[in-house]
Amino acid sequence: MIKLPCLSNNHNTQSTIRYIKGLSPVKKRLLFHGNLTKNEKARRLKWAICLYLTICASLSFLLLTWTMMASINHSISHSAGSGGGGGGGGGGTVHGHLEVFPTDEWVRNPFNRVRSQRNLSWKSNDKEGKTQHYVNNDEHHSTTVQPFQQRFHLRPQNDSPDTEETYASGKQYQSQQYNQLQQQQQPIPPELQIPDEEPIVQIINTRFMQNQPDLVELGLARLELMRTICLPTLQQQTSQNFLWIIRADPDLHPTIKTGLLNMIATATQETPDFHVVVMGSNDNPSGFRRANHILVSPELVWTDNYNLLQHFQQASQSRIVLETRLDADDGLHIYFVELMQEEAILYLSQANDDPQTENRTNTSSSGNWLVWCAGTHVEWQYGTPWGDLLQSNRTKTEILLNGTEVTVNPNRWKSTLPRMKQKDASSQPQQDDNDKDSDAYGSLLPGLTRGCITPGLTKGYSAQANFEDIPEAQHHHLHLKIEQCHELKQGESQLSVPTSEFNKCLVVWRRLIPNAIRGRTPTSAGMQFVLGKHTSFLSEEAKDALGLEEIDYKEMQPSKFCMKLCL
Amino acid sequence: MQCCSTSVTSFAVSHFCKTTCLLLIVSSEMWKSVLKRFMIAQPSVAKMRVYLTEHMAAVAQDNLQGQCTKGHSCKNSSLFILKQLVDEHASANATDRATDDAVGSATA
Repeated sequence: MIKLPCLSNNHNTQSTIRYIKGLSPVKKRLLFHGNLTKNEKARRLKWAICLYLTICASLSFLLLTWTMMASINHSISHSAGSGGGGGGGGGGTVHGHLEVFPTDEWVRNPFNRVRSQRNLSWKSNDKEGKTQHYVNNDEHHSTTVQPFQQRFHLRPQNDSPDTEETYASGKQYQSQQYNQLQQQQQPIPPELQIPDEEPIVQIINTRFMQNQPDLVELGLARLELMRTICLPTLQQQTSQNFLWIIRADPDLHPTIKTGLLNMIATATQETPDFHVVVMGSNDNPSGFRRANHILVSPELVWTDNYNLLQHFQQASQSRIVLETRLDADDGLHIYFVELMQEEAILYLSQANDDPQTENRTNTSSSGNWLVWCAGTHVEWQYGTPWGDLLQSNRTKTEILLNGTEVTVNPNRWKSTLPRMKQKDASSQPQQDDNDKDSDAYGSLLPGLTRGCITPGLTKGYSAQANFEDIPEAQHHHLHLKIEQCHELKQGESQLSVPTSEFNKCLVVWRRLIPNAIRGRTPTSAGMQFVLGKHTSFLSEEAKDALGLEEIDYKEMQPSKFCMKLCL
Repeated sequence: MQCCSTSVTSFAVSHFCKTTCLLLIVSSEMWKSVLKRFMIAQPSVAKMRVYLTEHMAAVAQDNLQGQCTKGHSCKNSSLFILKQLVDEHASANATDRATDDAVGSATA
């Protein structure tokens, strides 16, 4: 309790105010509020304890941090001293030391304090002054230090390279590893080697489940399609002078991956000269002659034949190169490779420099190139347009010859969906054998797509030309971007056209009829015509969504179909 | 092969039937040449089609999920058809379950 003299001795107001102003905040509080209550005391005690604990914790943390740093510094100076003192033989200490390090942190942060100290220590012991970088250090102590790649792999996938130097050293190390692996691998069997006299290298690129590693059902269905359509057409090619590169997602589900590799292993056993490389990669580099085309880790080549890839790549440097696209559910005519290579040698070989060709070639400094695009193809469709006709409920008609429109079931297109749920066969009218058979295989129809299709699309360039010379465009825009070489007239053979006509242009290839077969199933990326339904049979809603034009059946004559068929 | 046989006589005069019959003839003829030109065996195609049929719902569902992923096409038309396929199979499954339940309860 504070006694106020001003109040007891009747001093004037001014002196009282001065007295109060001179008091500390605590005394002012006591003056106007009297004694502290119990609650106030308890509250203040709690605050005091809290403050005390906080200060203690902070001090403890600082002490602990300081202790750890001192320990690490001691360890660094000790190990660096041992390594340097022992020269090349001191690596054993370094190895043990690396295990103590937080290795991933060490790799990720090149300029942190720990790395700097380590390098500086080593630098003082290196006569050649190559210890500016830890990779060089490792090479210096290569007999005992962990291989660089083991640490290199610790780098997170999305992390950018620490420095250009690190990156270059990493690549250098990788190339060394490639060479080592190549030496370890079995030599390429003679039947798989490209003969010296062979002037051409052909690659067939296929993508499989890229960026879709976990869609197991889709993957297995596509695998079945590949087994049924794609694989036999390549395996039975009359010329096996090509390399089939399958690029699948690196994280492909084990079930699909095993199935794929087993399938390829069986095929290569059956056909010893069948060149196949399966790799885990989501990249689709173009230009096989470029070095980056095969710049993948050999471990990602699942078929363990990285050397075969290298062999083809090396061979491509001085030969004509053909790069063909083929989807996993498509196939090629069995004479495709043989005849295309025959043409490529004819048109892209430099020995074929007649005066006309020379004149045309002079317009560009580079060699010749050509793009081949399948002029004819067939589509295997999962559904059948006649599926409805074979159905039991056939009372609905469409547009009659006289133009009369009769009832159209708006959901009619759905009825060609697989009839897997029709368990009770007795409830359905029986179909005759022909009908059953024709429905069981799906439908095989002439391809009606305008422009270039993916299967069989081939870019070829001579030994003097580069892939970059060929204009880039999506496959369905190629015919708009690249001038067509020569419009064949009715009955005209391509081989009768002067070779000078085939220079830096698009060849709509009709030597083989049909060139390719396209699978159209519910596994396809595009679903147009997959269900075997013609646009006219689709509901209005579906037609609007698809944006398809209705084809006038009245104008359609059998001869038009037969012309496209050309069988 | 007889196209537009007696079971579909009512269609014989329609364009639909005419075109479809033509397609059926074309397809039948083309199958004969496929083995020769592509070495694709028709029985294996039938087998694969059975596989696709049995797994249609799951495949369509997966394909729907896979649409528009990196490097793959992203067409409204495909999405539309795949959704229809998935819905169709979902409703077919529901109907089948209901039928099976009814048959089961009647048998019991």
